[in-house]
Amino acid sequence: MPQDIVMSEDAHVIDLIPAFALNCLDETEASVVAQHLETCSACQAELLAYQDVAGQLTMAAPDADPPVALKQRLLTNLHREEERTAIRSKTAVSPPHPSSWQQFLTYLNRFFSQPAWQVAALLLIVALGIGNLVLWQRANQPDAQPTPALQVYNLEGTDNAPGASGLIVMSVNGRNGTLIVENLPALSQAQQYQLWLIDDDGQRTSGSVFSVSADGYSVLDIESARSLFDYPAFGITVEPAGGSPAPTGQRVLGSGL
Amino acid sequence: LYDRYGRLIFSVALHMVGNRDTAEEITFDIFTLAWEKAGTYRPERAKVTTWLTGMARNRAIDRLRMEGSRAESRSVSWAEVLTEPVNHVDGPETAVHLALQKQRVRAAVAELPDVEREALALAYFKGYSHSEIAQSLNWPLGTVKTRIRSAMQKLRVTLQSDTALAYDFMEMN
Repeated sequence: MPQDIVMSEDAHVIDLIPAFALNCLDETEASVVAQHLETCSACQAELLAYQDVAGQLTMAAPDADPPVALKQRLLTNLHREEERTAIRSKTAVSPPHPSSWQQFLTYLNRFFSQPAWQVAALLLIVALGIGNLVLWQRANQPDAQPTPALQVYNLEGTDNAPGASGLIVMSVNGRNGTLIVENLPALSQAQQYQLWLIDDDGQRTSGSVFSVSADGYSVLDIESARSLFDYPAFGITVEPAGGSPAPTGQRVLGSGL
Repeated sequence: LYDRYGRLIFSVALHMVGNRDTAEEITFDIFTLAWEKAGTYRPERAKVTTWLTGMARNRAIDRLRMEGSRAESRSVSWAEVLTEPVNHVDGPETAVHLALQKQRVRAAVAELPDVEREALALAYFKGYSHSEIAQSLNWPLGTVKTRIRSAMQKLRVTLQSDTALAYDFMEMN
């Protein structure tokens, strides 16, 4: 132990906790503090307070904007994780466990059930009530507009590709759309997948011709001369490379069916 | 969660590692980890911000140590008080509270003596230990310890006294 640490085994480590919270203690000192913290609730409380300070110091870093594509990357990755979890849960025999987010919400619920939060919750309920009243009044005005939002359609694998899944995300105006698929079987070079936009009359229009990665994954823009809102259903079939004027092969994914 | 804290996490990662690609990678890892480990989050132990930024700092420090880039001298500085415009991406109310919170933290840091601010920046943004700070600034080790501790104690008093309400509001919304 370094000479400048003067303490008995029972001594508190209050003076070292600010640096411990910053993770800037040298190894030996950090080890002493960590050991002490295991059994000392007073020092644990001190640590929480200084960790909070350290957390707030993040706001003193100069601001920088993350790349726009980062959010989409995250969403795509999380969606894939969710799909994997769903597939695992379908095959699992054990009783379902609450998901991470459900546990997270449980913790939040526990936190917000404290008395101080109950007062805050009451104020929040009043504010929400006023907000709802305002929204209700606005909704009843003749020129009220619906809240714009992205439209998302799930695609489910058919018997030809039971493990496959997909998503179609449409822009607010329906002019742009993105297709995300995963777990589609790999095809030979002579074949590709083709997205079909299906209108109310059952007419099929090609939305895109695409291939998937080795793990059956692909993200692509949907091509359509008309608004995507004109199509209540979508399907994906296996077609000769380059695509077909109309579906000829097996259907692997579908929605709205 | 990303809309609210993505910029914050990316900012601190970028300031620490000094490379946009690495900062993006860290930000991606942190939000993926947050999603995977959400069940381990304990609100009674740490605010969401503290939880996320703690993970981001540790990840950035790991990267700096792994790449050995801490040996390179790179100056780090604190943001000046309110030099950036308010970002309205997450709604005006949250944006205003976030801006106020930044203003308070940056003002608190600005009030520290220069020597304390300098030592704290090396510890916080470069992940330097006491010994490394002493070596880097050519100060006695005891002086470094005193200045870091003093800086943190002052910040604790300043930040805890008047930010709790605004901070909690931000977490709640």
